[in-house]
Amino acid sequence: MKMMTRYTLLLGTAYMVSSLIYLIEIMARVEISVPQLLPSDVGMVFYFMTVGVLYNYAFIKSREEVSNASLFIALLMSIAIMLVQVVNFIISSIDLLTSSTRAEIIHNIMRIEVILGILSIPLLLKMRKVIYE
Amino acid sequence: MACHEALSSTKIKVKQRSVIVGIIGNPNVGKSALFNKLTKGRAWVANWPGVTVEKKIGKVNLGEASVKIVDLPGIYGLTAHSEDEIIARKFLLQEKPEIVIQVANAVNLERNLYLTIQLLEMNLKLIIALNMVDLAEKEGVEIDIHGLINELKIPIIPIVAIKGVGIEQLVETMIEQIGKPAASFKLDYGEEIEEAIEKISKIIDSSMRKLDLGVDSRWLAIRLLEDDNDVIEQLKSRGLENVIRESKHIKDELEARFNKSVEVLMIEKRYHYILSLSRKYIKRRPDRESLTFFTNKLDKVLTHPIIGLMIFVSILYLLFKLSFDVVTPLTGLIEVFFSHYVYNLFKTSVLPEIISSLLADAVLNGVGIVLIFIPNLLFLFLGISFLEDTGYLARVAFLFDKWTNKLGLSGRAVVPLLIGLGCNVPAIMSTRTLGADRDRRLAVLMIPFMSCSARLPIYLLFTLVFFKENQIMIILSMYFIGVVTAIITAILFNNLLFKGQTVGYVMNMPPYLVPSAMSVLVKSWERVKSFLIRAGTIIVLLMVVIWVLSITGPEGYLGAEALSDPELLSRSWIASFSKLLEPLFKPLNWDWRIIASLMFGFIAKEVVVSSLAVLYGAGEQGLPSVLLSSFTPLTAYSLMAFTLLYTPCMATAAAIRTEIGLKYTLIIVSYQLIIAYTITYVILLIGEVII
Amino acid sequence: MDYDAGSKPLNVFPLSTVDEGKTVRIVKIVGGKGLVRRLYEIGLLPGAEIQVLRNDKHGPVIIRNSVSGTFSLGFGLARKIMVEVM
Repeated sequence: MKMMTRYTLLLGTAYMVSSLIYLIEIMARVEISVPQLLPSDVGMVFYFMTVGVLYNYAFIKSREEVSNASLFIALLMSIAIMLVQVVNFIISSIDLLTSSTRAEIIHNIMRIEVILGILSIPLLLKMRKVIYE
Repeated sequence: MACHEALSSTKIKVKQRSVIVGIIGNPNVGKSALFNKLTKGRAWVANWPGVTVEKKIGKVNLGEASVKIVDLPGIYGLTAHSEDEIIARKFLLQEKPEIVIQVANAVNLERNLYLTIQLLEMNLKLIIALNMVDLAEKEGVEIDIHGLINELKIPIIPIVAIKGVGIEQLVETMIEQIGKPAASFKLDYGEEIEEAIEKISKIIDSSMRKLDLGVDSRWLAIRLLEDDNDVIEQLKSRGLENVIRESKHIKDELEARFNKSVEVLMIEKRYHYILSLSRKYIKRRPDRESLTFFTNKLDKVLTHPIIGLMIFVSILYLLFKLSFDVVTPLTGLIEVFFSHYVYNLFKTSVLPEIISSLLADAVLNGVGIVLIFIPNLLFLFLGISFLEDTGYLARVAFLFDKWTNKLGLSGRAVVPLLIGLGCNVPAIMSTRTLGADRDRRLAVLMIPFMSCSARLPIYLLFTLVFFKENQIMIILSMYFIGVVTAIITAILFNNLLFKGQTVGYVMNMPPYLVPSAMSVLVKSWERVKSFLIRAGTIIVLLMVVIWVLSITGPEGYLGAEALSDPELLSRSWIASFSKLLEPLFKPLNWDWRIIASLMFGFIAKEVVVSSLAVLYGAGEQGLPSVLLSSFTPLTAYSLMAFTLLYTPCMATAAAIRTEIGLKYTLIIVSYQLIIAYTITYVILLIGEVII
Repeated sequence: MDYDAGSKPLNVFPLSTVDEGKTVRIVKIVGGKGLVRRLYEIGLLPGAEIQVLRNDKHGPVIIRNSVSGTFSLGFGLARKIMVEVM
């Protein structure tokens, strides 16, 4: 259980930090981080913040029942945005897929939401066991 | 092998005939899933006569019989007070289905039994398809099906529609039941009411020589005691006012005795009976209930006023990103294919110029406009159907109902309205889920004011030229004007037209379910297809009309080049109409070229920009400088507002027509023109005062 | 569960005032025939036990009844459903 809660905190923090860096970059007009690791637009910032809040709330209330619900929703949202980004990648680079090297492809798709989405999968699988008893 | 022999002998007994089967049930019990499983995709959509509610019909061969399966609207009862109930009742009475399948939710069976009782009282041949038995088990609900079968004397088949479990048995039962007589059912309403029913039945029997309504006098008597408007109308039209009068007298006596409405008394009696059934045949174990438990926990988060709202906005963002951003390459592909490849194919063919122009500029353009929507619509509907099937949208409606109520709208209108910010067309189409006519009409009235993405090119162009420093603010002000106008429209129409039609809203919140991929795909494709076919034909026709009006004029045929030649175009019918309307637009300071561009803008709002380019004799590059010389910032701003508000684009108008009907479409268009003119004028006035 | 309204109601108040998490029993529905019929049809009649899941006292209410299922009711409607604590 301890591992799960720490993992939850990690994911939550990752989303929130990523959004914060994006906002700092916008307001201070500096470039701190690689664009891969940041949300790609303002809407995604809001999305990240929401997901981050859900993960962190699940961590804070980890003894209570509502924590599971919060975590479950956060996990679904992590995976949802990952899937959308994967679809985006496939549609926009149908031509690229044939011509680029494998390294280039991996570089293009390894964006933060995909990474965090992949990281959330094991946690979701673990939760399913809990839900379906 | 004995069962196989039995089955084949059953098949032989069934004669070759056409059989009608109706599928009925409460909302959210899985009727569509069963319908899809039974019809295996061989279904089509029509409208119920006289109303704009969808009617799904499918054809299957069961045994030797050719069966027409009709999907009826989801209803809780059959009292003919709401449009859905009226439709179902009319179908049952007029089309006289051989068999009626009631899809019941095993998790809340008692509530479903209310409808069962009403169906049985109509002496219909009923089969209950007890759906979601797997969920009922998880919930700790145990049903003694055999006991119920013996009590109600009708077949009850447990099924899990989305997984296809029990369907075979259901089909076998259907085949068996063809040709058998219906079971009779009589609910005892208690001494006093039964006495009243007796009296009224006698009056009916003596007054009517031959009942052609297909129901017995007992059913009619019960309906009269319940003040059933439909039955009263039917009797009136047969000149049986005396029956109505006398039964009302009996009813009033009864009500005086009990100090309660007879209808309410009868409903209570029905539920007493259901309760007795429940005690005998349904057991619940409150310690299980894992399904609702989990749903409730999720709802604590999802219906929370703050975090719930944040989640919804995030999901909306994702939906928009998927349907409008991610699919752009696909839309681009279609556009390139049509506007370049096929277009050139037609243009360089050996056909006479007028034909090739008709095909290329009118028909092809029209078809192109329709097809270009497909990627957006498909992904948008996939997303919405997915969210709808999980049950999440009911929670969204709850989140917003507090505010939409002040406008006289149910919270369910929020999703279509927000979709309108992406594109009005799918927004209009998704109002289908807003059952009640009033809610739906109001939403459809409001949606065209939601500034869609097609209006952005106009804003971008004008703000680039006139408002470079405040681009974002000005564009946002457009969205703001749109939303405010929508709200004003709601308040206006609420008080004017739809006065006194507010009924408190009651919305079912189904337990969260993982949607079946098949059901989501089928639903989405159905919606896209309906747009393509119905709206598509209207759009192509309108394009042809506009094309004719552009390449011909008072002098006659101008030639296909008129579409890109400002001089020729100025002699077309469209130009003539625009010049005719010029004096009307004098207060706004617009000349006929702007009016003509707005007319072309009916095709699609982005076309206003390219039309301006053509009519002012500039290429799209030269347009900015031409605009600078012809407009002031104020008139530019007012033009932006006008394009936002003036009419829905062709595709939206076509969608409105297919959803609500021609009359309302024309009302909406006229209303929008008036509002657009008014607001634009007001903007000019205010602007002149400020500046 | 019994659908009879039962004894004289002492502490009866509108559903819209009930706190989240409480379980109450419907005593009477104060409304026109149409309203009463619609609630009755789905099993929300006098005697029915309902659990209040969401209520911020200003807007719609989410309630649950084991027989009828979970429903959200508009604020105006919730004010017309008179309940007593169990």
